[in-house]
Amino acid sequence: MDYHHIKNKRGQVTIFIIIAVVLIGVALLFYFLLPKFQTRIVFDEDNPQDFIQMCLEEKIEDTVKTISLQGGSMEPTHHFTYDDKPIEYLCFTNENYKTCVIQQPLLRQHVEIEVENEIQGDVDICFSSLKDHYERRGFDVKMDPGRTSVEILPNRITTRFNYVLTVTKSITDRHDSFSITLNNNLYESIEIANSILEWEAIYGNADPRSYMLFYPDISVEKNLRDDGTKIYIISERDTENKFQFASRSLVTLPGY
Amino acid sequence: MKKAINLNFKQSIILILGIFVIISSLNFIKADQAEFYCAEKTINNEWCQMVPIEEVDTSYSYSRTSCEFTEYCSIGTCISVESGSCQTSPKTLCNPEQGGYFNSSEINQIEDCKKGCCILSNGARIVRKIQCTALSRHLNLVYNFIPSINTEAECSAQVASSNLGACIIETNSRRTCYHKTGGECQSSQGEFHEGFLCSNPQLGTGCLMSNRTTCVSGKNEVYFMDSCGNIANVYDFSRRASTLYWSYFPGYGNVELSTGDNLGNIRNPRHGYCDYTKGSTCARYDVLKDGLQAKPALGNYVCRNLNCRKSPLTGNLERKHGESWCSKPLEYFENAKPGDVSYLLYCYNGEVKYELCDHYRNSLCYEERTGTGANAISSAGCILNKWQECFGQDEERFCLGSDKKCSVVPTNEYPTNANTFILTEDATSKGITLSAGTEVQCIPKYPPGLKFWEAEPIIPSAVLDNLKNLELNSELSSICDISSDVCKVQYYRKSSGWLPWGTSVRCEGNNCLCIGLKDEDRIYNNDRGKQENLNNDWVIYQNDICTLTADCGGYSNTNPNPNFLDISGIFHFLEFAASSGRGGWGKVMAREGWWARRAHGTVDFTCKPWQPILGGEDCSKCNGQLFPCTEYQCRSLGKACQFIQGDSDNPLCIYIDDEDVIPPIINEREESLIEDYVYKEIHSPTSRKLGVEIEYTQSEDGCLPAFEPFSFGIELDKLGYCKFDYERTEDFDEMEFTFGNEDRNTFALNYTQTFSLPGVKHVQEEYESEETDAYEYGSLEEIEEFESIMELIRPSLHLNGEYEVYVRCKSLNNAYNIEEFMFKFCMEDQDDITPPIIRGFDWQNESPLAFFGEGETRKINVKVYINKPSQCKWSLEDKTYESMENSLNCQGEDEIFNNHLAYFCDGELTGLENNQENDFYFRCNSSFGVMNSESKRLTLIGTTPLDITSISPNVTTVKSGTSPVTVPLEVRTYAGYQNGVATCQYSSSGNPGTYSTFSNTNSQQHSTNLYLEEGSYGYHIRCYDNAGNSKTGVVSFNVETDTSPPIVIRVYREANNLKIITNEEATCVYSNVINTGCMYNFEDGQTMTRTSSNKIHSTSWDYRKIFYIKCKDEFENQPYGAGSGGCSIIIKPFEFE
Repeated sequence: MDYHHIKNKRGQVTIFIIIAVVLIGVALLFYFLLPKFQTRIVFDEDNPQDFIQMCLEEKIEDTVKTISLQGGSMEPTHHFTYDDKPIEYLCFTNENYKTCVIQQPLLRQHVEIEVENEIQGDVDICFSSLKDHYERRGFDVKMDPGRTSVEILPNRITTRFNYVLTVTKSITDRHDSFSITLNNNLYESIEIANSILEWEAIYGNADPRSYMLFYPDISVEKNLRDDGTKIYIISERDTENKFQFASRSLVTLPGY
Repeated sequence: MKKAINLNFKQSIILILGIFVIISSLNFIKADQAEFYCAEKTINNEWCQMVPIEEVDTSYSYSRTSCEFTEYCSIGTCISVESGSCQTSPKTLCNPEQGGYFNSSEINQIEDCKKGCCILSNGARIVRKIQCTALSRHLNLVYNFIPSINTEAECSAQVASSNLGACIIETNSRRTCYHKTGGECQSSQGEFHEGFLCSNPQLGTGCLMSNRTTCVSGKNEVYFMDSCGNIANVYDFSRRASTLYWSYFPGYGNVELSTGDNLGNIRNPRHGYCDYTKGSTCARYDVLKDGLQAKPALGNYVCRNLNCRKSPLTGNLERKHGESWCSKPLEYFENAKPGDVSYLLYCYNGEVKYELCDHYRNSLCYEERTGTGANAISSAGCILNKWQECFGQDEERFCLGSDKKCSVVPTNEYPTNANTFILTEDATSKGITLSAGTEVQCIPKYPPGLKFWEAEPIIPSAVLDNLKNLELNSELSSICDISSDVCKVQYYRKSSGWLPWGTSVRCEGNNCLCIGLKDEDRIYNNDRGKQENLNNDWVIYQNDICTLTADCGGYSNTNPNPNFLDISGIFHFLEFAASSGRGGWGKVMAREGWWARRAHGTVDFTCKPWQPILGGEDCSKCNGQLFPCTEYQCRSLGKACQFIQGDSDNPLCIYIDDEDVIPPIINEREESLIEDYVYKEIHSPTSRKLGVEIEYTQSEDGCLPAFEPFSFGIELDKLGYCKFDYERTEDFDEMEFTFGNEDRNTFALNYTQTFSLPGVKHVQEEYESEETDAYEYGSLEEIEEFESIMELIRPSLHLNGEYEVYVRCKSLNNAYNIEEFMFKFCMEDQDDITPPIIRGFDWQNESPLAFFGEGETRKINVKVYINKPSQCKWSLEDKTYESMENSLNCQGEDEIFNNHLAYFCDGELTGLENNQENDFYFRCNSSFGVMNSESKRLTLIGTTPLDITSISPNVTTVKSGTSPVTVPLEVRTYAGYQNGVATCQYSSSGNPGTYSTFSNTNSQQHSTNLYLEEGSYGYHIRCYDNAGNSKTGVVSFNVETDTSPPIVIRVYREANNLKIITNEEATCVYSNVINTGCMYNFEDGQTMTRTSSNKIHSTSWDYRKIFYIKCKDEFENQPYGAGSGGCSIIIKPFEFE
């Protein structure tokens, strides 16, 4: 084999190596720099509602579950730690032999606002992603952002997104608002929690049995801690849904 | 010239001392008064608390007064109409922006918050008025509220039998039928047939009998449903095909309701007359909860047993639903030992629940049992233990009052400083009857618990108040000290000088009983200098009192025999402080020299907080009991017992031996294995056990089946925290995963871990391509999340199917295993011959669907969850997999499953029909070609369109005498899902985001109050139901206010009548009393006769009188003011003559 032939071979190999390096570089560039998109979510241009539902449903479910286990707050500011979880005090007194002061009288509204605040980031991302999907398919898109509102209603939680989406290709479609409805009876659990809190504030104690008599589908437990704090756990029998909170009222310490 | 103040030396000293005293007293005063502030918010984010200034969040209000006297923390009621709540609340927390309205009155003084009888069509209960409207919403029922009824019995009696019937509505040439009351049907403009069921053939509705049953919200029974979805009569298998039973409601057409076995039909497969009072209610059949024999003959619902089976928790009795009882009888706590606590237990809906009354016996469980035999039932509750009020009581009526919180012990004529009294009648105490005339002292009947391991607790003020008259030799140092006592004894000896051996002395006086002697008895010195003829009865007696005070005295929990006293040596200078080291002791000391002819001694008994035995051998007795261990119970078992994980589901009482450096010994746990799985030990060549191999007994080679969750576990000889890894590691910290499917570091004695893995063939097929193919479809975040889930729940997939899991554990002393314990297993290397299992769908079975309009594509998306990678299809008919027409999109990669160990397929379901049940059948084919032989069915219910039947007020004028005017906006809906039950909203502009929800909604009737000024108004209404059907409407009306009183525009005489005409409809009265003139109340006036137009008013003409006339309109507008200003007109008929 002559020198010229060897030199050609080396040259070819070098070119291939360079091409390979360039390809790898481009691949890495694609991998890290391309905007993230969720191809796992099926996009149907005739049904943006489905897209929003798939994009946000799980987030709303997880948020509701977390907030329910923490006494109605995403980040409890005044809580009792039980099982490594912070549980908000919804009624509290730092004194002994005194009934507590309710810390959250508008509980349902508070929970709604907590959910709204927690999901807002994801809402923005999902609607932005929805817009991208349309634009990539050649639509003219006009998106007017609006308010996100959560309503905790009997047997369901409805989240409404007052975004107005107008998409135009050959014809114009307008979607005035979007909504996601979860099957969840948090409403009833909060009603019961409010009643328990009333008893704690006025009489210093509540009897879980009376609620189970009136609400056969609900289980209510009271867990008395050593410092006088009570953890109330309201569970739905047929689902894993649970709402729990802490209260400290009319505490008698030992020897007092 | 200034005159110097000259003081002599004495005066100077007095002055200096005086200043010193003043300054000291100031400091004393200052130190004595703690400064607390009512903080609107504290630095710990607590609202309205009394705290020192350092804890106040000064960016909010605060003041140095009690919170009830501040404006911001004044307690009132926060009312929310939207949520239907009245809540006691401090003012600052009632936020109007969240819909809260603060009322300074107490909750029971507010009209909307008052309780009354709330009648719903399924029953009645006593609730607050504002809650009644909320109840009607969440039960989707029309309500009626009667405030005058406040007892449940009277309220329940209000529930009238409903006049239900078939309501036929004809729309668009369709004839639909619903079960409604007469009033509801009328509102829906339907044709009502009282007492008829829609399945009555005479009605020709097309609704037919069916085999479907269901539960009904608010009712206990199981009901039939007709083919149209209407609730029919109670499920009765024997009448399933009875035309009569399917034609009329009970009470009509000779149809009577059968109650079945009359015992609630618990688990009766053929009858659905459940009875909550007998312990049964309707529930969806579950073989695990109801048993095989309860499988309903028709439908899927059965009367579930709500009673609780015998168990240690129930005291080995069967307990009825609603029954409550105590863990120990109240009498037990009369002799409570440290660690004893009282639990309240109750049975509800088949479950036993318990509640600790109090950690330290400040509250105890009290139980009453009524009835006999099978009808016997217990009722229990926690009651307050008011032990504080017993100490120092010196009157029988306070000690043995009706609340029975105290008991008495006889003084046995022993000298005592405690308050005593004489019984006026017989009394029983601790099982002993004391006759009238006995001198006794008052003690708690149920001694309270103490935190005996901490500094001695402060004496409650309630106790101190009762002890003011006691002569105490020292200040009380603890609550136990209340039962300390002192006895002074006087001795007399005859001889002088030092006492030779054998010399006797005599006790004199009333207190000789302290040392067990009476007067004239002798005390002898023996050869060893110890005194004989003494006994310690008094001290034993004192110890009994001491232990009855609280957790005091010399008791040992595990050693019931007190051995604490040994009195000897009265007449030596040495103290004989005999003690068990466990609390109370008697101390006898001679205070005067031996050479005295008479000597005085004191016998002291000091009662101290109880202390447990040394060591911790008994600590573990607290764990694994019926109730979780508490710190109080744990500490009572030994000095070295420690309570850990207190604020968790698994509190433990442990003995930490600081010198224990041995790690936990790990062994495999048999109980963690499921059926058909076994362990086989693995040993090293030197016979040392290395671990176990897990084998599947149903396979020849012992390898485990693919995609079948299996579990294995470990048990330890001491508490440990365990981790595992798939590779060998150097030490505990290097291991990556927590053993036991938990992500927190709690300590336990055993753990179970669950895996689910593909077989070898699956892995080989999927992993032939580059690994990056597995991540092709996900975003970076999803991949990262997926990887973390993967690492938690599934080990790295091995191409050869061989797996080893290495485990280490760490003890409480941080000692961990050097050598790992190994679990080894293999996955099957063969074609998968089992069909896929469809685990479920992302739709709940029997979910409603919104009505599909004309031109609307009738399809929905669905997700099917399966246990292994497969291809799935569906059809509208139940047929074989190959015949099914529609395929789903299935993910095939092993990694793509959710953390419920399930794979999924998704796709679209088409061919949906309105107003009927849509059945879809699914079957799957595994990657090895094994298909389902049976279909999994998913039923989705098509609905009818929702409609609005009426909106009011519409095209009308609303008038009122006040401004703003209250305008009730009302809407009625029907059809859709659940016969028109919907949520409605309104908006003045109709723009998105401006709609507000009706105050009363989520039913077929919706209402809300608007407060409007005069003007013209229009509103957009929109309603939607649970299926997603929606309907809109508009309404317009005018609002007028009328704040002016009527004006008399004409006065005349007609025949013998005085007549006046007003400018509007009015009611007029008059008075003829000159003295009062117009100054009379409208109600006291004489009414003038009105014509039908209500504008012409008349009375008899009398020229001798003056008529002072007042007129008022429907809005109560009438003239006010002094003089003639209080009359509409003053008429003097004589002026007309």
